[in-house]
Amino acid sequence: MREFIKEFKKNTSRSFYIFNGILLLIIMWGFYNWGLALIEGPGITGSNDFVPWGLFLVGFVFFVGASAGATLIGLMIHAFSREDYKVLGIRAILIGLLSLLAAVLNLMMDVGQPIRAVLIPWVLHNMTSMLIYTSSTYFIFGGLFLAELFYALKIARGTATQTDEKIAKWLAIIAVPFALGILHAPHGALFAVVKARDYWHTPLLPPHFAVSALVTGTSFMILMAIVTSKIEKKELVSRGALEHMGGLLAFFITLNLFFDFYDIFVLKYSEEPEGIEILNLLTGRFVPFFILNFGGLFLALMVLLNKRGRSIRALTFVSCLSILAILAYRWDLVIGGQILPLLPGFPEIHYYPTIPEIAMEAGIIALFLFLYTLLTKILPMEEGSPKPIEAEIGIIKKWR
Amino acid sequence: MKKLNRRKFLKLAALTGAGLLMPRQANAVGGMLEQLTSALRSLKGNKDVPPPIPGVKFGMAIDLGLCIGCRRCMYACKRENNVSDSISPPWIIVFETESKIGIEGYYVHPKKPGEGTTMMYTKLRRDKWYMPTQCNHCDNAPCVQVCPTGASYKDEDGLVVIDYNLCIGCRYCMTACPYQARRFNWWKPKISPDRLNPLVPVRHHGIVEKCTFCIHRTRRGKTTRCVEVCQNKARIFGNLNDPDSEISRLIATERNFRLKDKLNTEPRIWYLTSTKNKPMVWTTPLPPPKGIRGLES
Repeated sequence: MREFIKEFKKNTSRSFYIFNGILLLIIMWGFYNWGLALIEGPGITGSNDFVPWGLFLVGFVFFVGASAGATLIGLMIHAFSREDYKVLGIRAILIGLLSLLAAVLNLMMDVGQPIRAVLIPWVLHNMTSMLIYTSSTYFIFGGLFLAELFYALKIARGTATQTDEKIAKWLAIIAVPFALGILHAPHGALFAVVKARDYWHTPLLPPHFAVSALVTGTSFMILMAIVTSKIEKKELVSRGALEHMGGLLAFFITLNLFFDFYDIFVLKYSEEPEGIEILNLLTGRFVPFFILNFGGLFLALMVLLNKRGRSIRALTFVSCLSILAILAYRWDLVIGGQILPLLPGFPEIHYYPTIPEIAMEAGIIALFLFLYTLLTKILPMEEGSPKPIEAEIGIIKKWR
Repeated sequence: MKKLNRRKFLKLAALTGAGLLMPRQANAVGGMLEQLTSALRSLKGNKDVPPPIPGVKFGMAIDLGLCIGCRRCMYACKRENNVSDSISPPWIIVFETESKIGIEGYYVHPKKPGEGTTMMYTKLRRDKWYMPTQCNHCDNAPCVQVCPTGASYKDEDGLVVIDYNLCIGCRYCMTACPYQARRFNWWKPKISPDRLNPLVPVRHHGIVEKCTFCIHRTRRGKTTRCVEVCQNKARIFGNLNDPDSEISRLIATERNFRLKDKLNTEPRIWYLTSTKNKPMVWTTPLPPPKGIRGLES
């Protein structure tokens, strides 16, 4: 242990302590406000009886989506035998795990009775509730990620047997259909089953959620690879792998835009009064989010299809833009879906996150970053340096 | 065949023993879990409310031709049910509308949906229609369907009840209710001691509440408080299983509609649309609810 601490101290710079110190302060600020909400009441948030789900639900669906990247990288390594992705393997699983943790924390901060929320569903569960179903998937998925992490660490330490490698491979392969089918799509269904709200009540929503999860997941992975390379001052992944991820992102963005377009097209074409109202909202009070969602994704796609769109700088820009665009979509969906009154005669409904609410969300994000930086420092991250595969770079060039 | 040494024998014996014991242990664990579940389920027997009366199905009719929008039902309900001052609007909201079919006529002006309808009116007008809304105690209640713990449940007498001890405050029911009838305790309850009703539990912060059809009264043979205070007798409450009850007769003979019927929620409040030619008392309305979270004042 003493040696481990010595080693840890030797490998950490001053900026690491400063960065994590700031993160710890933000975490404390967030958790202090959570305590306040538990004592005083959730009234310190901006939610109200008309918009009962606020910032935390936006964060919740966003983080659930972000975990998709981990499964994707695992699939690349094990199903497509992309050796150059291997360096991202453990980092990706960590991001997946921490995203799930952040999603659950968002949910816990949102509910009025978090202790009951943890205990009661073990005994009393209404199986017709989508929430009980989605909540149980965190355990399944958390378990899957932990198992993946266990075997990936074994492989990284060089203690894995052939059976271990086989298990790791199959865990990674089943994770993707599993994630799309039982994690991401059901989160769309959480909203889609609400027949009271026309913006949510569409069968397109579950696949839309799954695709937007893939966009956020891939963007997260690209950003993680680039930022880690910058911090560690070494090329973490080959250019080939980065360009390949750019290609994947372009594909997922196209799919996402397809869903976005048909959502709006059907609302506009059918000219149902409820649909017109939603369109009026999206192109009126919510226009900045609407532009960021559509415009952001479209611009990202254009950059990716451009010849120079796969440079490090372009990929950084594109991933940030995609994350913001999907965040805007989540905001439009979660808040926009509630802000229209279900009965006429109410004055205009508003929802603005309050400072304590923002502090709590910032606390979650800071915790995510803190645990990520700490764990990547402690755990062995890779077997060796990446070896760009000439042949595959050739394939990518051809594909482009 | 390989030789069976002591170590292998012990291993084999342990495995066989475990294999034989496993189903028993699994059964025992399952049984324990079942006992725990049933114990907690019996706890769920909701001690806060009286048990349902067998053979009774409650329902309500509101005669829009008789409702003058005075808001007496809204305030009486608040006092009767220990609704905290921090909850606004209270459980009942009254809308002033242009249409005879109340807020179902939301799209009377297709270009401007909802125009001509308000909950913030301060004067009563004889050319308008008034429509109170509250929990509809739907037979096919979306709130019951989505509640993760079963804290919201449909009881035998047709009431949708919330077990306040089991609500986790996730507010899924609030997003799912098409009638915006549910309220959340955003703050600690604020009720002056002189208006506390000992028959109704006080809800603490972080849980959802809504109209109970005055469960503490109706299950003891009384009518709801809103029915009691309505000076024009616009509200009729009763047993739908009894074909001779006033409510059964009115629903069968008078023109009526149910709110958002197309959603197949099967509400248990019927709105009667008789014309305004019955004798009525017109009074000044009580003020609209104040300090509503999230609404433009």
